[in-house]
Amino acid sequence: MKVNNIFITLPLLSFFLLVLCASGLTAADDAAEITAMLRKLGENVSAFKSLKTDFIQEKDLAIFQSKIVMKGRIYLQKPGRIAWHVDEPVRYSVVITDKSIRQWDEDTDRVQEIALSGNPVFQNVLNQLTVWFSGDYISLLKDYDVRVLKKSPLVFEFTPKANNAAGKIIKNITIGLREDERYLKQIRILEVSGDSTTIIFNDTIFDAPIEGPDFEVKRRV
Amino acid sequence: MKRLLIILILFVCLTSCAGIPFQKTSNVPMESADPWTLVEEFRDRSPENFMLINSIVFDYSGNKLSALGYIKVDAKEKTFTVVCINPMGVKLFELAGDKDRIDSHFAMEQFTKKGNFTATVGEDIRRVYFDLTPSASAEVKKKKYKVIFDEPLGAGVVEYIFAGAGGHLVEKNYYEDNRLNWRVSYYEYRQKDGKIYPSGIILDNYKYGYGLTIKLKEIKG
Repeated sequence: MKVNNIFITLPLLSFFLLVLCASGLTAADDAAEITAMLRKLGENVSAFKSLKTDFIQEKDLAIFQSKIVMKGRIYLQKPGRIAWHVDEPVRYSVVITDKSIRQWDEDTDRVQEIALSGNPVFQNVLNQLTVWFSGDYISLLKDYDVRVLKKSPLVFEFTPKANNAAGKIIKNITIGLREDERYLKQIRILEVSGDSTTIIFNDTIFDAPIEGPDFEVKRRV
Repeated sequence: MKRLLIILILFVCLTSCAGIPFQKTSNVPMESADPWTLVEEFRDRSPENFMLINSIVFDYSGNKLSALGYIKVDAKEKTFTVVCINPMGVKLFELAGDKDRIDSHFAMEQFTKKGNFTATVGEDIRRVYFDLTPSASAEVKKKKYKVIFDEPLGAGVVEYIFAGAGGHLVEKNYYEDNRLNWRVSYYEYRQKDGKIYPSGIILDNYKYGYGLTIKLKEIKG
């Protein structure tokens, strides 16, 4: 089933807007050290061909002073294949390749697909997701101020510059590295509204065999 | 001919029930039930203040959008706050309201571009969570498996149907000019701390041609 309307683009775009908002950061003038750290980090983090990781996503809603917890798995295979499976509290999957985006959820039980060809927005989305999950952080140095919050383990904070439209939505983004600095431990996006999203990565495995069904959205039906 | 008719009826019944993801309310004889005792018991067992996490499927013209809804309701004061996020955790809208007004704290542009989105969502929430029992002046009709209360509402008539093993509210129907305008159906009541909550709710808006399917995921208290 191929559709290209609000029902598929809205949920995806809304997520990716956050990712795109984080699509560039500029180190401060005195932050040559930070640039060097990001470069080194990128070399460490990008040293894999495939990755699978569990995640816990905590959505803190300021208005309720409470949180929604989502759990799932992410599979990444270079070049350009990402699968995002949510297991709780609803089952949902999205698979993004360099050719298409497919998604499925248990409530609608429908697979929806859109082609990436001729769709520069989603091609950009794929590129940005790849950057964040693959560790090419240097390429992100455009529109954000960066500072190191902690050196061991490394924690970086990215704050939108005044001329960055992302600042209307995002107050800052914090990424924390694992002890071995090989991969992310967590990403936290703090919004201007006071809401925040924290994604914690657990049991991350590099270069483990990833099976074809891991990139199928309906494999769990 | 008679056999053909039976097959046809069975087919219609099966196909009409196929889209409901909840257990149909069982047929329990209601002839001996006292209508106002049913209402009183239902009112006593219904929560006044509660917070719920639901999964929601919005169905419009065959297109489906699924989301997670986080709602806080004070049924006595008739106030609510609702936040809807997509399965990847991104906020779609946030509203608060009471019986007279609705305030939009946030809504994605894609939603607000079409019609009066805020008012529509707010009205649906009121239909689903407010005014779940008839007033004392309602007209009562007893059927074999259900008790029906009718009373005027605005330009039309609202109908409350109580049925099933618990004798709970299973339907609210609103008619204008003898035409069904909208219907809310309640399924599979569950208990927590002495209060009852429907595990499934379906709202059909026949006037505007859309539907909402709400599955209860968690009762927060």
